[in-house]
This record gives sequence, C-alpha cells and structure tokens, in this order.
Amino acid sequence: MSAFTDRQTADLVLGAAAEGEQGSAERDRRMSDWQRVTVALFRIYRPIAAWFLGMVVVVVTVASVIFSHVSPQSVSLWLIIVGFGSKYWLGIVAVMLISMQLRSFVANGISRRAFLAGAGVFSLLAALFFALLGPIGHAVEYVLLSLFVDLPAGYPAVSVSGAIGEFGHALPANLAFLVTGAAVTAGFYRFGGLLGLAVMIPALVPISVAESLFNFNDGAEVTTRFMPYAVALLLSLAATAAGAVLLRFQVRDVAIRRTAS
Amino acid sequence: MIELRNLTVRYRHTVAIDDLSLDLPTGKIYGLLGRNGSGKTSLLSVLASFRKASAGTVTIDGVDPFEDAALMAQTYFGRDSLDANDGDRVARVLDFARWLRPSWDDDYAGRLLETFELSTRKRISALSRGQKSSLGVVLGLASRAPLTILDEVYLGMDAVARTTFYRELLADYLAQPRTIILSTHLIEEVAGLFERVIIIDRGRLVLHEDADELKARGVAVTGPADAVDAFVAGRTVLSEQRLGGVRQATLYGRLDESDSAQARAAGLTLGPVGIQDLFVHLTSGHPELEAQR
Amino acid sequence: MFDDHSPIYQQIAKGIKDDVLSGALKEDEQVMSTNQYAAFYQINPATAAKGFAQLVDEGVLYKKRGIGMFVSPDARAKLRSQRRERFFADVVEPMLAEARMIGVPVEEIISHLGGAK
Repeated sequence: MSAFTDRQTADLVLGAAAEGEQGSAERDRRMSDWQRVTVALFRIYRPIAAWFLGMVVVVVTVASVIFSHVSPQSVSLWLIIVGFGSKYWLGIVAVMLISMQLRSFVANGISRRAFLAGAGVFSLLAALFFALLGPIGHAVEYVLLSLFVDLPAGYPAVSVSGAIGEFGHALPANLAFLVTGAAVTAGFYRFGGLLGLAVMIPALVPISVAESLFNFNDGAEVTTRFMPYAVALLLSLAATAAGAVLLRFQVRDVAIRRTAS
Repeated sequence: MIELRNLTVRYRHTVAIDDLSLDLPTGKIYGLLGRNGSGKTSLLSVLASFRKASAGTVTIDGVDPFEDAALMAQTYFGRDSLDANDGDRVARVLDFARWLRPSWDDDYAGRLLETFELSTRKRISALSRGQKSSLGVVLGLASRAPLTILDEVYLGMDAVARTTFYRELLADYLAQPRTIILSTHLIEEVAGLFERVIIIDRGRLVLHEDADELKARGVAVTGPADAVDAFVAGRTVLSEQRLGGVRQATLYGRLDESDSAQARAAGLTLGPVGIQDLFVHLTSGHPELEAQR
Repeated sequence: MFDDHSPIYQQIAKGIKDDVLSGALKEDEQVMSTNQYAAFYQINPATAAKGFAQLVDEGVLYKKRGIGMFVSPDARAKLRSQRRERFFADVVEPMLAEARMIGVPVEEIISHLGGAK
C-alpha cells in the first residue's frame, strides 16, 4: 500500500472525467418542455410520413396509368387514399405515440403533462397537414390526369368550395382518429385486458361520431349526413374533445411499466 | 434531501412498499439492497416519478417529484430493461437524450460509447443483453442527472464491462458529485463505492446505515462449541454452523474491545462478515431481528 | 487490497501510518486528496475522508485550507513512540502465547534473538 505518493496515476484516472465539463452540450433553454416534445415528434415522424406519402404517390400514379389504359377513373384515387385514408394512418400514429413514445419521453425526464401537450400540438398540426394534403393533391391529380385523358363526369370536380369541403370533412375525422387511437391504447396500457376493453367503448366515441356524420359518396364527393355541416362539425369536435379529456385522465398519472422483454 | 414518509405502493393484489420512511441526504452514493420482490424497483419508480405512490409522501428538497417538470428533468432512472423501443437505432435513443436532457454531455457519451464498444447504427433489438445494459450505463452517466438511479443496470454485462462501469461511475461522481442510487445483487464487487447502504425486505426498511458502520456490525465467532455457546449467549445470532466439535456463529452487533479480548481469551477466533453475508442473513426471515428494527 | 478484517477507512489510516513510519511519506509532505485516493483504490471518497479525519484527530495529518492534507512534522516520532508502547502487548505477548502453545521454551527464543543483531 505504498503507492500513496503516486498521485500522477490517480490524476490520470480523474483526468478523463474532468474533461467532460468542457464538453457539456448547451441546451436551448428558451424552449419549454412541451415544445421540445413537439419538435422531437416531428423529427421522428417526418421520415415515416415521407415514406407513407411517397408510397401513396407511387401507388396513385401507377394505378392512374393503368386506369387510363383500361377505362378512365371516375374517382379521385388521391382523395380516397390521402383525403379519406390518412385518418387511419394517423390513428396508427396515435397508437404509437402512447405505446412507444410516452415511455421514451418520460424516461428522458419529460412529464406526462408536457408530453400530452406537445403530442397534442403535434397531432393537431399533423391532422391539419393531411387534411390540406387531400384537396391539394386532388387538384394536382386533376391537372395531371386532364392532360392525358378525358375525365368522365363522375370524377369529383376541383373547385375552391370543393377543396374547402374536402378539407372540412377530413379534419374532424383526422382529429377523431388521433384521439380515439390514443385513448384506446392508453386504456389498455393503464388497465390491461378486460378493463381496457371496457374503457375502449367511450374511447371509440370520437370515431363513431365522425364516421357517421362525415362521409363520401360513390363519386368520392364529400357529404354530411343527418344534419347541416356546421352542426355536424361542432358535434364531432365536441365528441373528440370529450375523448381527449378521457385520454388526459388515463395518462396524467399512469405508471410507466417495463416492457415484457 | 430526499424524504420518504409512510410511503406505500400497492398493486392490484400486493403491497410492494409498506409504510416506509427514509431520509436520504443528497450528494451521496447509496447502495440499495433487497431480494427479488422486496420492493426495490417500486421504491425507485416512485422516486423517479415513473409511478405514483399509493399512500404517504415523497419529497425531494420539499417538492413532490411526481409530474414535477423540474425534478423529472433532473432525474435519471435506468432499469434493467432499457426504456427504448426495439426498432430504434442506438443513435435514435441517444437523440432523445440529447434533445430532452438538460445536462446531457454528448462528448462524454461519445467517449463512453467507444469504451463500451457500442455502434450507433445498430438497432436495439440487435443488441445483446450486455450491450443493452452498456447503453443504459452510457445514458445514465452522460445524462449527468443530479439524481441518478441505476436499478440493476449491469445485467448481462461481463466482469470487464462491469468493472469499466464502476470505474466510469466513480470517476464521474468524483468530478461532478451528485446523488446516485445503485440497486444491485452483486453486492461485494461494488460495496466499496457505497457511502450508505439501504436494505429493504418485503416492502419494509431493514436498515439505512453508513457502509463502513454496517461492515463493522457483523462478527463471525469460531471455536470449540461450548466456548462459542457461552460467548454468544444473550447476543443476536444470525446463523451458525457446526463441524464436529467446532461451531461458527455469525453475530449481529458490534463487539467492543473488552468483548474481543474476552473472546480471544476463551480461545475463540473472530472474523469479519462482509456486507453480502450480512444482507443474506438479515433478509432471510430472522425473528431475532424483528425486535432490532 | 482491502480485506474484511477492519473497516476500510481504518486500513487506509494504517497504510498511511505505515508509510510515514517507513519514510515513504515524509513529514510536511502532501498526501493524495480524498478524490485521488478514491479513484486510485476505487472506493467512495467519503471512506477515504474518514480515514483522513481519523489521522487528523490522531495528529498524524494536518489540513492546509484550500491546498490539501499534509503529514504532521512530528508524525513519525509520535507514531514510533505509540507503536513502541504497544510493541510488547501487541507483538511480543502473542508471540510468547504461540510459543507456549507449541512448546517452544523461552531459552530457545532468547538464543535465537541473540543471533539476530
């Protein structure tokens, strides 16, 4: 034990740790936690969304080409897949947000409250984006198709009011699927098995309301059932808001469990 | 100061932590010891805001950590299973930490990744058990959280990797002291790092002691059976063994100078009892000890 | 490098005392800081600090604020006289007890010592 005077060796051992103090990354403290969550989620899902949309573009292009040789289409493929199909994709994203991202964020020191707020903003923006993408892509599709074929009468017309209508029908549906996807997942995450199934029933309300009110006919034109659009919109948003309240109650003090593996 | 008062954590059919009270001054390295199912992870989960207490209070410097943004941002809780998704790459897991953790040191993380030979391109699912644990260690150390909780993070790591982990942990603690709570089953190899030891058993606190004090609490008395019997009468005996006419009794409780002299005079040999042995004895259900708690 | 026979901080203290006695550590020389100590032996710095505190109490070390721990100027002499006092009780008596137990007569010990100069 006569190495007490060998301070050089001890310094070497400590030296490595002392270096780190200069290397600390400066964090942008101007952002609040929920904003960090939103930014992080965009970074995560942007490439996934790009893949999804890229595939849709390919599918729609290929299908349109095939159709143009067989018989001109009387539907807007883009409108069907993106305009009315995005909601399913967004529903899956919501499932992933709760089943995968919630744990990662809490494990990195983000509160559940901040996560819900950040994810909420992210979801709202995503819902808006895809709701806009419907009519915009529809217009592009119309322009491209009319260059090469004679579009039949059934093809949904492109107009400003039509675009607003397409947007106005997609948005409440997108929001409803996001909230329901999250609430159903949160129910199972928190309660497990049977109780999760029971909680699923109120969690499905936003989707049920949106799906029954907003629809598109055979010609891929948007319609509102049972009541005028404005009333339907309010009702749907209210149902979605109720679902969001349920989601908040489920998540705000949920235990972050280990995964089975 | 971390204060737990009458903390109770209940699951559907079990009570994991039962009316536990504890004061933990910050800035120390704590060893949390307990058998499987003793409630260690539940206790740590509550501290880290991963779980809400069923009853009782938890405060860190007077504030309840549950859902407190500031405290959560300053706490790192590493569990034996990595809190990351199988499909993510190591780089993505590090991204999260970099984006979200206030005192994240990216350069340090890079050095640790090299030390533990982890590739950032691999997916979590492609990592071995030991590599996942090593990644957990990288995240835990580079997070530089003022409260760093490492719950059996060494699982799957070989002896070399574990030694590296302890060395890095101590080096960083010396450079930037913080509160570190290590929960472990491999007690002897890391006991030297502890300043204090906490033992819990079946949801209750068994002891919370200075590590050096605890080491001095156990004595192994060996010698002729009669002499040993005479000496240990009236003392707390944790266990005993007999071989022929020789008996060895493990005592719990300090022996002062005169006791030691008395033992030696009677022809008895006194030996030390390591923390691991003490832990085993203290948590195997000893009625004599219930009175001591 | 540390065994279980006594608390680590006491073994640290004894090690430093041995070094002072042997001359490996000179009087008024600075000893390693608790952190350097901890890193070198892979122990908690508080344990090293306890060992140092004990030595300060015993007058073997003294602290220079802001600089570190130093060996006391009279440490060697002090330790030598302490160990001398205990020499017969701690070293010689056990040796004699062992000699008695195995039957080595004192005369044999004396003649052995006679040749040890």
